[in-house]
Amino acid sequence: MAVDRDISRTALEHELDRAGSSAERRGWQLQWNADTLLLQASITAPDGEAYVFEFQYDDYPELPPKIDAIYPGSNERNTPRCFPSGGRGYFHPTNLICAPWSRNAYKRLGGPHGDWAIGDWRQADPLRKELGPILTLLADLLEDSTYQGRRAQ
Amino acid sequence: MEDHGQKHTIQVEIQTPVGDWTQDFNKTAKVSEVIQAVLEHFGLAAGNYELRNVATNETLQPNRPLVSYQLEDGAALMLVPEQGSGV
Repeated sequence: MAVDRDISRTALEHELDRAGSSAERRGWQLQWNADTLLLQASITAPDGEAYVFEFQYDDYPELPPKIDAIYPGSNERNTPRCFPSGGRGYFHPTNLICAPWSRNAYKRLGGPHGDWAIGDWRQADPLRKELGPILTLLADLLEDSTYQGRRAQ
Repeated sequence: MEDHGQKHTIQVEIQTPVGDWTQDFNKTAKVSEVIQAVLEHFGLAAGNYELRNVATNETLQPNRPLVSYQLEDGAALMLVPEQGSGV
């Protein structure tokens, strides 16, 4: 199961390169740590609230990234106020991102979905099998009509 | 290609979540054909995508040719994957 960290690093850096023009155009702040394989993405909603998502890329791409929501300026993660409201089902009530491309969604890794096979994650949602489309979706959900600020204050 | 001073192609900038691509297309190319070319260029999976005019946010209809939208050379179009929903 373990993926060589150099493979994970190379894969993600290729995806970061591809996502660069979208990040620049849409004002996302991306901080990549090649040693820890952690990517922090800060995406600002139209109301000025910044949402921080931390992507952990160990064992990538065999496993999808582990995505945590972090309250800005703190170590608080995956609490209601870390998440945006709305989200069209992607922001799960148990405070995780619920999609095949989110490791936290799988039951064997602590999530709600025992019915998903984690090895199929890229086939399960082929439109979001790399970083750029995932960030695009998260940003679009902040501009969606279902968004009304943080899930909790 | 030109005929009697009429250019038969249009250059558009396609913005996608995985990069931008500036390319000439025949004006008569259907929007669906442009989408297919973009998917092949970037190695994106088949699926439901829209093409939007960045300047107007108008969604281009897949069966219409580019020329029917009277786009200027250099027009920016955005490829938008279907949003779907979480589960």
